[in-house]
Amino acid sequence: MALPPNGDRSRDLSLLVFGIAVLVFATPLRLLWAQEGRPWYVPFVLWLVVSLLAVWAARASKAHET
Amino acid sequence: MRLELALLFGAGVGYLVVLFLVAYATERGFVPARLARHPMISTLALGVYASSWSFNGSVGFAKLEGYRFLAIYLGVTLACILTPVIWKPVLRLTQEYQLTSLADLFVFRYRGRAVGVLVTLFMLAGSVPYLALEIRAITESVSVLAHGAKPIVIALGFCATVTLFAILFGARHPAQRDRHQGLVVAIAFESVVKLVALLGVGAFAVFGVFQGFGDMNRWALEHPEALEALHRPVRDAPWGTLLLLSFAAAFLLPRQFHVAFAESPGPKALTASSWGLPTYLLLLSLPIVPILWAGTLLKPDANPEYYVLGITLAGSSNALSVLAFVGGLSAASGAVILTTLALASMSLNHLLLPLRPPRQDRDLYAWLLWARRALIVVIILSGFGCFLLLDKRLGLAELGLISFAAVAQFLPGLSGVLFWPRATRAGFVAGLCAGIAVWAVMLAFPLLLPASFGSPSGGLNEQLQLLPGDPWSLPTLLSLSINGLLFVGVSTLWPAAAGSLERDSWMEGKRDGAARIVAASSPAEFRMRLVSILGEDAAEAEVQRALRDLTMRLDEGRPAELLQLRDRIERNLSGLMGPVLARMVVDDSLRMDANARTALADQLRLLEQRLREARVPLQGAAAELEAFGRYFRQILEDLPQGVCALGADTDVVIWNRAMVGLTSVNAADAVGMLIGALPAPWGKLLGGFASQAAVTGREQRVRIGDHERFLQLYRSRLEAAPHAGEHLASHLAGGQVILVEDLTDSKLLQAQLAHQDRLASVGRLAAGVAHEIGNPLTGIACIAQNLPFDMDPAVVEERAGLIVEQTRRIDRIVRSLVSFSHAGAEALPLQASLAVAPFEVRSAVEDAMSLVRLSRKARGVECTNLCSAGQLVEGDRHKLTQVFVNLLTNACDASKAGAKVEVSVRPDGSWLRIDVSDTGEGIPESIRDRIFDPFFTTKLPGEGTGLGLSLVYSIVREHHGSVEVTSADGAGTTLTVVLPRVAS
Repeated sequence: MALPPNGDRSRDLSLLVFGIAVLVFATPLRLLWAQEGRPWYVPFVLWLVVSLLAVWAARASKAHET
Repeated sequence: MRLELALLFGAGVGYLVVLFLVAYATERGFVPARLARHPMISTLALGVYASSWSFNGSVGFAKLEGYRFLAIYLGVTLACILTPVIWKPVLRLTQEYQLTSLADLFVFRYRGRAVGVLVTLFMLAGSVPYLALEIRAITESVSVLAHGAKPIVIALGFCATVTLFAILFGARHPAQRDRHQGLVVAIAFESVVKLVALLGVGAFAVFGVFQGFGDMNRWALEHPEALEALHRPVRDAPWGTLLLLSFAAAFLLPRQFHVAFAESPGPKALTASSWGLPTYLLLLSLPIVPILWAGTLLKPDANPEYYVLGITLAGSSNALSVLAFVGGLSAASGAVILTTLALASMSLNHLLLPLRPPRQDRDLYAWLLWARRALIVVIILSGFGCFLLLDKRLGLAELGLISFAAVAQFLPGLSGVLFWPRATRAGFVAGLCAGIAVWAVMLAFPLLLPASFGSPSGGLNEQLQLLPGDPWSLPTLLSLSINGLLFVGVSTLWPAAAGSLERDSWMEGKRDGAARIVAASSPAEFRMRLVSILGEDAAEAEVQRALRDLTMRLDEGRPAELLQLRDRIERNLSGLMGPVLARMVVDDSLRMDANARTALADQLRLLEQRLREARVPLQGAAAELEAFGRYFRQILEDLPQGVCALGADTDVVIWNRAMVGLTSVNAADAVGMLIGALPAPWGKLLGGFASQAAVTGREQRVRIGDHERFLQLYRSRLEAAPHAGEHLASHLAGGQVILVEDLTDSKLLQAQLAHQDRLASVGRLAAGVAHEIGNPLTGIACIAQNLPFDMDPAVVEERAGLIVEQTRRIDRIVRSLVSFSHAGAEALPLQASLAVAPFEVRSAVEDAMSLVRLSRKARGVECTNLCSAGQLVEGDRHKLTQVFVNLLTNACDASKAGAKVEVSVRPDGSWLRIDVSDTGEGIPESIRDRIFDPFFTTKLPGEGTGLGLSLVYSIVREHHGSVEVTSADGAGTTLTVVLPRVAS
């Protein structure tokens, strides 16, 4: 089966990363990093991971374009 | 320790001068264009999201709400991740249709002036408090750092400076469609300044107040309540609402929309922003916790919202305090400038211009420019007025979130733009009005209530105690729910009427326009019609601009191209004065021709263009159908005959390669043109042929330059296929296909063959002719020899008469031979046309017989002309005489000496049947089908060329007749020539 055209792929990747970000920050899973006693920098580390995933999604879409 | 007011004043002015210089240097080209247009510049410019309440208010918000302050940035992160889903489609729309604000976008989608007015007014209502917030942040920052500052003076000075900047670098061009590179670079510079400032203060908090990260972490462990104060609100309080508000604000706030779409260099910038902006906000929010804890430790006498400034006063150097102040100044000024520019653009397009349209006696561009500048002043003054009136108890974050809740009301409408084509204007307006009403009652009006009414931001929420401690969730959820419900409900229950502009323009593919023809017939007429509204200069400039954009000629006259020009002018005017007025101007001055039927050529060309530009290529069955379509189209394109397909309006739809070669008219010029408007002689020829009702085929002679060509035209009417939809059927029915066959070469060949056949016949007759001429010559010689010796005048006269009679006999023979051999010679090289006239069959047969009798072979055969008088046919007498000569010659050749060859004619309805019968051996059945083939002969070489019957056949066909063969072995042959009869 052929790969979907690039426009679909970049949307798919962005939705994937969006889903992960929502899971980490918007669902009750946030209670894990907001637990009592967690280091203060934990949400920032998770945020950095999500940003790196966004970088990956942008580059993967661009690579598929070319 | 406080700073001197003069130092702060100097720092502020100095910073703003640097900002001016950065913008000026960019506009002048001192900053390389590659750098100025780099995607990172656009990303940094989007950092204008972080205004004063991010720079200052985040710490105060973190003090009250812990890590919930992160939601203000995480929501933006979530929105950025969805760049391909939300931002890029919006960018495509704004760039394609030159939409410069959110109000433009919604008017474009939902149509109607009321939409623009509603969106603009609501945006003004939601944004003016935000401007007040920024002004307040500056005045309070100065108060924190220095004594003796008068807030009103500071506020006025700040307002005057940002007004000047906004006018100089944001309102330089009359057209809002033009990008302001200097402004974007300046805002990006501001983002860098505030990041550096905040990171600097954060570094001071970690290394100046604490002794490094280790010391800070140790302090946090020793004060678990500080850490718990960050985490507990995330666990206990609603978190989703803040995420949703900041998600919406990321692209719906006026300043965000302006930078992301109106000033965007393109989709690459958005791709970079999809990860660049979240990273920037991450870096910006990193110092908040250290600053909060440093402030908690130092307990400065500052409001937690100004810890960023307050803790710097504990340091030994003023530089950090100045840096922090400049950071706050950059955060505030960027937000104010961009918000004002965006609101001015909306107000101009949707409030001012519809009320006071431009007049033709004014310079349109100057009027628009000064109107926008005036609106900038008015809006900033409104912000100043709001600053004076606002309750000082309100926190920066609270004010900011009220604005966020306002712009979030546009989320349902935006979903209708991007994802739901059946959303209607009524649904959008109903939902928005309901959302505004709830927002106003629960969030906005309490701002104006006196202190005795309790917390201004609590409102109904506090009364109901539904979500204690969270004044935004209930108003946000309630307003959005009611908004969304009405949006969906009204759109579903009262869909847009079929045929309405709203439905047709959006659901039919964003106003393809292929079914319409503009009443104006040329770009010059466009200009003339626009003058009455835009004025001479503006009308000329806009038409020229549109022609340049489309690389169209000034003499363009094709309906589809003129429609494209009209649409382009509307788009360009939309970038100048907004879509509402642009549409009004174009609808008023460049009207459509209501009586014109659909232009099929336009539809096909637009369809092909859309397929070429399709963002999502066709897949599956659609792709295969499209491939088949191209295949069949290629067949037509490659046919050796000219193919010209016409739509119902006689506009050219298909003009294949053969037509281009034949007519020297390019397909690009012909397609879309009315057939009658093609260059001479084709317009008259093909247009005349297309308009004749009954004719399906006709031979035409056309002079092109110095040459003549012979063309055979065929025509077929197109009827819609039985299964075509109603829309398609109405386009296809009434069209026709014209096939043009160039007969010039075959005509030339035929003429050459006919001439050669005649010469061959003359050759065959030569011996007989010599004998026939020899007899009278001998007689003349004998009489002349004796004439000198005859004395009797009567005898001389008699002998002279005999000589004259013999010379006449010779003359007749020679004349008929010359006439026969020359007939059709004038057809060479190209004029092989028929000299059509009615003539009697009997006389033509007689002429043919007299020629054939000259032949030696024929002298032994009795040729009898049994044709009755008065039987007429219409045609070329010479050519048909040649037909009879050939048939009689063959008949004589097939007959033995003494045999009979008869020619008779009998009418048969509207035809005449001319029979040439011999009593020879007949034509064997095995070769009967081939006797009309060129060069087919049963005679020995040198006795026949095999062209005679072939020529007979082609000449008779030229006369719309036919040739029949009746033969039996040993019983002779009858060749019957059937020709259309002419009434005598």
